[in-house]
Amino acid sequence: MSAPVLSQTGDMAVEAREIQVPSPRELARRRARRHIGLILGGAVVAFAVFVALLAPYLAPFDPYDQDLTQRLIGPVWQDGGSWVHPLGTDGFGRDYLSRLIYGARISLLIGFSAALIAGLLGSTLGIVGGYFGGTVDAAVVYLINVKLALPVVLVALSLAAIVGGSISSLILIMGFLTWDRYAVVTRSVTQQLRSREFVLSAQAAGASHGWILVREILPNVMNHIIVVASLEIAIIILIEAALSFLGLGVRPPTPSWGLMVAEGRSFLFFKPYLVVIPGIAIFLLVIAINMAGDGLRDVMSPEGRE
Amino acid sequence: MATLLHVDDLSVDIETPVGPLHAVSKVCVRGSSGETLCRVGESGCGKTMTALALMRLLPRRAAVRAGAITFEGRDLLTLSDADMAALRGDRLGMIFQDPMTSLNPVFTIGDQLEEVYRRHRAAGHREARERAEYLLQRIGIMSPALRLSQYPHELSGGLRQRMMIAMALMCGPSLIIADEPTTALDVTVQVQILRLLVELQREFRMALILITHNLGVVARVADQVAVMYGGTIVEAGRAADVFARPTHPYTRALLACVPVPGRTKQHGRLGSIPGIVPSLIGDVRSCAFRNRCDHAQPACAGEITVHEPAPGHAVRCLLAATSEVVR
Amino acid sequence: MLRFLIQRTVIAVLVAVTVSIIGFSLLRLSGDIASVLAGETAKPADVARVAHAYGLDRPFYIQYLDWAWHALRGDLGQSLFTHEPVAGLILDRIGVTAILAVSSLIFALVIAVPLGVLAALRVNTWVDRTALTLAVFGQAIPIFWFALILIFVLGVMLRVLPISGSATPAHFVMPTITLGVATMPAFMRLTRTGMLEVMASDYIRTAWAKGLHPASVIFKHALRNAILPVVSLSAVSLGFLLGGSVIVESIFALNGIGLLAYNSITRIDFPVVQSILVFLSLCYIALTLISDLINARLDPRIRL
Repeated sequence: MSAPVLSQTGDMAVEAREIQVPSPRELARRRARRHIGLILGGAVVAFAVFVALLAPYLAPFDPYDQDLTQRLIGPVWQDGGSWVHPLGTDGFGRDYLSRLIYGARISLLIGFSAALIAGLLGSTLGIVGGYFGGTVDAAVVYLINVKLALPVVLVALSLAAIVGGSISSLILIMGFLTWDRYAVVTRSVTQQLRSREFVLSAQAAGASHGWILVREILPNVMNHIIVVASLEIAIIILIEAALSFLGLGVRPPTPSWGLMVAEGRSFLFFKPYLVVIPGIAIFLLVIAINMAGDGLRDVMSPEGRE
Repeated sequence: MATLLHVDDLSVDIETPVGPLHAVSKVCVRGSSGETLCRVGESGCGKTMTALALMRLLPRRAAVRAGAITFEGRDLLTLSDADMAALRGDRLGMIFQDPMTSLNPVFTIGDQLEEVYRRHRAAGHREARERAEYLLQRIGIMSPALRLSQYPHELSGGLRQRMMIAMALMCGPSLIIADEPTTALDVTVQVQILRLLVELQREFRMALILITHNLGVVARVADQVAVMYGGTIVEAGRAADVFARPTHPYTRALLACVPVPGRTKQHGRLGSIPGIVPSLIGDVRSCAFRNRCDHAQPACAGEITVHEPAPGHAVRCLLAATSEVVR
Repeated sequence: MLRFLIQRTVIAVLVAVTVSIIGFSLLRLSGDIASVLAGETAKPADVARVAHAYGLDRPFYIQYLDWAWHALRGDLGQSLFTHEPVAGLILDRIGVTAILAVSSLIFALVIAVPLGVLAALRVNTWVDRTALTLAVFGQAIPIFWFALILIFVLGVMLRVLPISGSATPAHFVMPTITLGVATMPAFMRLTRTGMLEVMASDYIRTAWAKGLHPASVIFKHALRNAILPVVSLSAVSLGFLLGGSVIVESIFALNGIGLLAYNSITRIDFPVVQSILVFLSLCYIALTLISDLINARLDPRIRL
């Protein structure tokens, strides 16, 4: 959009100074290009995904391969370490680097899948409640309150103890325990959107609820869902690590970073690398996801960082 | 009638990614006690910025420069932050546009009124409260004690604005700046508030700078008028002069757009000014109005000098230099 | 005010009942409890006898109502493991968890609020960026890992603090730091955002125009408004801390509810687990109610 060029009567044409104002999407793209957090975080996450996908080709050893003659060798920078096992070996002689790489698979797989389930569940509830209001909304609010009242970690532990620690069970458990923020956010946004003109005019034109929900409401809520999802993925990864650490998440010998910390715990005082390395991996991945998520939020609605 | 406030050549520049924004350029103000000076202009013309710059309420990003800003003999430009804060609320009062957002919602009216007095007079709670009640009564508010114990959201818009006025008066300032004090209020209430302001000004013998975009208000109360456009003053003088013989094309166009009591004839047509306000980024030495002016000439793209078609009546326009009064 | 309380209480009761049903049915999902109780070598007849003895052969809703009836009178059943009354077990351990939760919250607030205010006042400077970085770190660090690192550094290498048990206040230092660091980021961001918003508001401009001292403007006028959401979050956070302390309690061997829950879960001691779940949920519900009341008290715009 630029200011119109005005011409005066007679001989003088004076140009108004033009101010170019780009579209919101273009502005967002520009901000994205300059946003360090988004770029850095996004890069690390992309790297992690890459490593996870290509794990079989990148890992030097089979993560389940035990070799009791090679137990507890330190990483390459310590005495006795070598490039054969760059990050050393654990108590069973398994290569730590390979376990770390496969552990990325577990974290990302559970993180993204559970977030997907939680996102679908929570967003549907939130949008439906926010849009229809009345009794439907009351029911949604009630469900949200029930979910919020449950102590997440304890319920997750209980469920994991009962149904076992298979990857799919963990995904389902976490998916059903972390949907509340999606519901709260989408409900609030939908309520605001419901009274905006474009929705009212669609209703006046006789559009069905379903049409409005999918074509008018959903695209506008999508941004918020993505931002919430990016932050919830990090939370799920942390919870899964905690569950595995406590012995009720991913079961041995599957390499989960949390499980690796637990297994390394007994050697904490003599071989701290066993605990430090997987912990740093979790830490860095979560930071990267949070930075990328914050970056997405900044880019899509830059009013006040947060 | 002493000159209380003397501002020379004030400019405010704000850094933006695309260049410095000249929000205010070369503004001069003379405020005298007992006098009402009205500053008129469209939104964005810099009238509020000028007031904020004067009070040194602008953030550090805004670069304020002036030849001189003198108030009661003190140089406001070189005053320390602490000294300036001592002046604000005490000698200099300001009333803002929207009384709902300008009052702190979690404190009572009484609390907010008293704290100004206690801050500047080192007074106790009782003394401050008495002063507050006294003022509320002078302003014509019933049951002042009750009002003082209420919260801003419990009062109507008009009442809130009266409280803002009382708050500005607590320490008996010599100059009050009122930034569009009636814009956020109902039309019926606007008249009351205006009348109140003028009464109080006369009674307390203050100088009043009234910022508004409403010419009707100006016609009613102004002694002096300054018309602003594009960040600078385009015409200034005694209100009677400016209304009777508007010289700057913008002033003339403005007056043609608005029904002014005493001026607009019945069945006359209201005008409009085509075009939009230009960007204030970049070079602003030339006349900002020239792209909308019917009488623009090539020379208008250069430096514009100030002329005085009559004593005390100044116009920033090349056309005023000609002896022929533009019709 | 009364209407508000009644409304909220009704909702609270509804939620509490739902949660208790969830808690109750949770452990009955684990399949045939009777066989588990009877042991691996039990014959079908023995299993049937065990089932009958524990009332496990009755219809579900009867079992639930029976449990609820007893629970309302303070009888939460007995631990399947130790045969002690569950209510007693919980009461014994609630103190430790409460101390941990409250001190973690205080620790978090004492760091978060001043940091948030400072970050807002010096927005986009190195102070602000440092504060935000600290928040990012605090949110990303796995609690269990941080606890182990703290144990390693402070407990073993430097030997300044005890690493397990709950005998002395010193025993609570590392657990408090662990939970506090994880809780701090949300409050810091909330304070910062709140202050940024408030400092840009019209009434703060009025405060400056009145010539008030900067300390008065920032702490009396601005913070008073910005702190409202922090207070609400505090009450809710307390609820989370009560329920989420299981990791810290198990690592530091603190004898609180979290550790009790964890042990009971691994032993499928369902009377204990379901009671703890319901108890913690009730605490959370009560805390959100208190949070609403405090909010209404602090913000005069909210009429009850």
